[in-house]
Amino acid sequence: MNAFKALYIKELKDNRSIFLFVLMAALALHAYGYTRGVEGILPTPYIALAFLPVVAVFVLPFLLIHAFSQEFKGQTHFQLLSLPVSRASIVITKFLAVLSLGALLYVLATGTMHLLYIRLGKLSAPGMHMPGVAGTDLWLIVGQWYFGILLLLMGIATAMSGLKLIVHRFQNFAMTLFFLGSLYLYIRLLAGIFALNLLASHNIEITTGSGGLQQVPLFLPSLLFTLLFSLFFVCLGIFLYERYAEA
Amino acid sequence: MIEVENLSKRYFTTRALKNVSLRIEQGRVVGILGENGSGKSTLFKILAGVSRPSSGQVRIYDEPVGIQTRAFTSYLPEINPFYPWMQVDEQLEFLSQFYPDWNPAKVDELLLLMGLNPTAKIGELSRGQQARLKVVAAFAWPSRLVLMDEPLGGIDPPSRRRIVGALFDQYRIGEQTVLISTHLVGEVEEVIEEVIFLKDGEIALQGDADQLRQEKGMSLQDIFEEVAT
Repeated sequence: MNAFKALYIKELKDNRSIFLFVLMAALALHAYGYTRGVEGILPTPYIALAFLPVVAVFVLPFLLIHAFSQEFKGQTHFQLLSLPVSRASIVITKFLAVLSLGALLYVLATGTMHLLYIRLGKLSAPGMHMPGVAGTDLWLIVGQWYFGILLLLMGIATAMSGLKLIVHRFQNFAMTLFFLGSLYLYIRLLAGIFALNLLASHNIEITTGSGGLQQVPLFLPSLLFTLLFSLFFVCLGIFLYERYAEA
Repeated sequence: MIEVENLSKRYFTTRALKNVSLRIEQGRVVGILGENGSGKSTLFKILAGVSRPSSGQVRIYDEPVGIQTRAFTSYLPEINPFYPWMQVDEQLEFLSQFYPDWNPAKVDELLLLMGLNPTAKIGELSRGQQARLKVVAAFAWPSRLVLMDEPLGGIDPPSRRRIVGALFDQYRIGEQTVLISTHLVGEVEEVIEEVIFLKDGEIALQGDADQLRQEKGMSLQDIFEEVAT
């Protein structure tokens, strides 16, 4: 456990410049979105606030790939691979470090939105366009799509990092092909899963922006499929790292 | 005991090691000598568990190379493997989390011996200081096997003998097996008990250091030059 913790903390420190930059940029953007929203200058603060989660789900997988490749570039993989830990724990700690940043960004984005709702509720600002979900339900709805997409892309990124260990020529081409192929496979399989959504959808009651209640279906099979698909790619990345990572 | 049987390593079209077989008894200090590209570093990487053999078997103290053997092996690669953003003490603290027998008191002594400032940033250390840090990391805990790949590279000539002498007189644990690869044979000649000469990925000559010196009537440095040519 000590070793796992040490690796995780090392990952956070190793990437602290990028992580801090992303966090500071997020904080600035949200402060801007919040103040403008409260002042009524920005009629749709939702756009400013939703911008970051959208960007984050696409940026964080690249950060994960960077976390893997910088070890090889800096030759620190000599040290990492000689430690008495499994290759799997190296992969998992890198994954968790980036996911931690993702979780922070989620809390920041959704938290700001939540605060804005509370503030606007008090102000009852007219003409303000906000998403149709309010209060704690916002966390559930945003979290569902945010973590779904983030885990999917980070899973593919983990597998791509493993693939880099065995593909030595035309790496960028192979990575792009693998990424597009994985997304294609996901979408094709998801289409099949959609039928299951109709059979096994679960309705939740949410509070809308206007204060009313609404039944919203939660597509559990799709969500579960996305998580399993992501897990498959993480396992593939671990397998490739375990089998082919060497100095 | 280290047992290597028919070990081969291939990198694409290059064969770095060709059917190398050797046996090293516990507690010996062994010099692995050879020119650049002779396969020394590849052999060390495989023993350290950071690289895999293409074929052949390696067993260290009856264990196949893996997490178990990495838990009792200190590996000093030829390059600087440390994180440049860490301070010397941070790097050593990081390593201490993986080895239960890590000895902080010994670390302090070794840092003093090596003349390293614990708060210095690794990225700002000279090549020689980085080499010294590798030695501290390797001898800071009672590992059963120490693999030193070109450990003296970058260290100034006057300090080399002093460091080697101190390491083997004061800091080596009795049954610690030490493998040293170097082209600075003269600097470690006094401490080497057994020697293996590698040439083009194969063992060209091996044996007890004293016996080889007597048989050939020359120093290890001279034997090295003879084998290399």
